[in-house]
Amino acid sequence: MVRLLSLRSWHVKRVGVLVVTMVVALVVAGSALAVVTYKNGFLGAGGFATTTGYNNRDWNRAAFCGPTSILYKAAVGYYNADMVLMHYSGVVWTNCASGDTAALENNGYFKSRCWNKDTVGGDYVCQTDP
Amino acid sequence: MLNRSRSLRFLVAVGACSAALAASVTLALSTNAAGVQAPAARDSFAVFSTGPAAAPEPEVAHLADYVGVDGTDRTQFRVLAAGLGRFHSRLVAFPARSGNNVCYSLLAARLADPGMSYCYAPDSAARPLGLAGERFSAVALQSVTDGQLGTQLFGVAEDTVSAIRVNVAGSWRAVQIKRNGFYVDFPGVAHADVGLVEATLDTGLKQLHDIQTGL
Repeated sequence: MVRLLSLRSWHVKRVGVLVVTMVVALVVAGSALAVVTYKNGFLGAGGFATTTGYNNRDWNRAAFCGPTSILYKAAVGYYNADMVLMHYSGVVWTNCASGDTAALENNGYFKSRCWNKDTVGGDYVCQTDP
Repeated sequence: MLNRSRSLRFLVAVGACSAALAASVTLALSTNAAGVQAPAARDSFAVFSTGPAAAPEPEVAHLADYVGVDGTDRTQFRVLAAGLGRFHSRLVAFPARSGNNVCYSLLAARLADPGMSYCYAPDSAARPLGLAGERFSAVALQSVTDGQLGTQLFGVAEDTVSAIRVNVAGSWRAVQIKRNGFYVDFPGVAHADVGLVEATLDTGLKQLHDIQTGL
C-alpha cells in the first residue's frame, strides 16, 4: 500500500514537471517568434513608419516589399522615451523578395522606426518584436 | 483497345518530355553558358570554406528565418572577428538562400549595446547601377551610448579585395580586412560624417561606395 502511494506520488510529480516544462517551452518559443508588423504598405519617398508605443525590443528590420525585383533604399532606427534617435542603420538597399534586408539587433526599451530612403515611393514591410 | 494503349503511351511520352524539359530549364538556370555550375556568392568568401563553423547566433535567429537560411547555410556561420571596438563586438557572417546571399552582423558583447545585420545578394541582376559589381558591402551603424554619439563602420569583402579605406570628415583612414570582414570604430563621429568607402581589388581596380547615398 505504501509502495503504491509512493509510486502514485512519484507519477504526479513527474506529470507536474512535464507540464511546467511544456509551459516554459511554449512561453520561450512564443517570445522568440513574436513579430510585430508595424508597416506593411506604401511609404512615400522619405517617409517612415513608427511603432505606436514603446516596448522592450530585441530587433527591428525592414525591406522594400513591392511587386518588383528592383532594390529600394531603407533604414531602421530605435528611439528612446525622449524620442532621441539612439540607433540608426544608415541607408541600405533592400528587397524582401531577394532577401536584401536590414536589421538592428540590440535590445532595449524603444520605439522602432523604418524609413523609405529612396526618391520614389514603394511598399515596405517593417517588423520588430515582441 | 489499341487506341487507348496509344493514348496512354502518348501521355506517358508527353509527361516524360515535360519532366526532361523542366530538368533542362532547372539545369540551365544553375549553370553558365559553358555548362559549368555557376558558383554561389558564398564561394567568393574564403572564410566560409575555411576554419571551424560557429554556432548560429540567437540574436539573428529572426533574420535567418526571414531571409531564407537553409540547412547547409546554417552550418556555415563564421565569426570573422571578436572583441571589436568600444562594445567588444563580434563580426559574424553567414550565407543564405543556398549560398546565393550573404549576411553579416555586428553583435555587441552586451545585448543592450549597438548591433546590426545586413543581408544582400552580391550577384543579383537587380542591383542598381553603381552598386552592381561591388566586391564588398559596407554599412555604418550610428548609436548613442551613455550619452556619447559614435559610428561603427563594418562589412564584408570578397577574396579579390586587397585593401579598404574610408573617408571620415574629409580624411582617409585605412581599414584592416580580416577573414573577409572589416570593422572600424569611430567614437564621437556622426553617421553623416562617414562618406566614401574605397576598395582596391587585386587587379588594382578601385571601387567606391558612398555610405550616405548607398551607391
